[in-house]
Amino acid sequence: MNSLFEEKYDELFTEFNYYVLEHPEFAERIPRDALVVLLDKNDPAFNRENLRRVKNYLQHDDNPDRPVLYVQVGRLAPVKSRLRDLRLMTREPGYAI
Amino acid sequence: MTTETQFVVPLRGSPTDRYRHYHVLDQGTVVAFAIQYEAEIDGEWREIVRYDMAHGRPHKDVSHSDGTKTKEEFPHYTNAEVMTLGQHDIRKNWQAYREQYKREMRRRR
Repeated sequence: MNSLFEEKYDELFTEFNYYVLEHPEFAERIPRDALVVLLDKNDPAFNRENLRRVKNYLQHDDNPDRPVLYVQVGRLAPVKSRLRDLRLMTREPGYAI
Repeated sequence: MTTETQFVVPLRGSPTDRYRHYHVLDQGTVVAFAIQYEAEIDGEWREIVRYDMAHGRPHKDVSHSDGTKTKEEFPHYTNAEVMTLGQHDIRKNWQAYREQYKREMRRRR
């Protein structure tokens, strides 16, 4: 469970960070200094484990008044390359020498 | 439109390790940011790795247990690129940074 949970956690964490940059109207709604908890409506095992870990984290938090924000992840779009403007060359370009 | 965003996320759900995020967006451009890895060690939350902009230039600080910091600059990167780079570094390497800091603490004892 551990490594599957952690891989999914890392993926959601990465995608959430991209999302808040790309959607300022969404990011504006995050309470200042909130603890963000990512949940997947379609993965109850992940949610159970994440909520268990959050409870544990809150016992260590140095801000007892920190707001907790639960973010339900809707869907993950298919991965697309971010490469742009590719060129094919048959010789090394001058800048690479 | 200018928006400011600030939040924390436990790293891999750890109770003693978190990612702290702050950024300011102005017309879709990151004009300010600070992201850091914080660890609770010996009952105290400490900043271990930080990426932010000082004097308008994005850079990285690694904190050491003796209070010093190692700095790294990114002269050919945009703010958004350094923020993304920093997020990946923290996500992949926070456990190594934590162990390094704890090793330094042990050496000083």
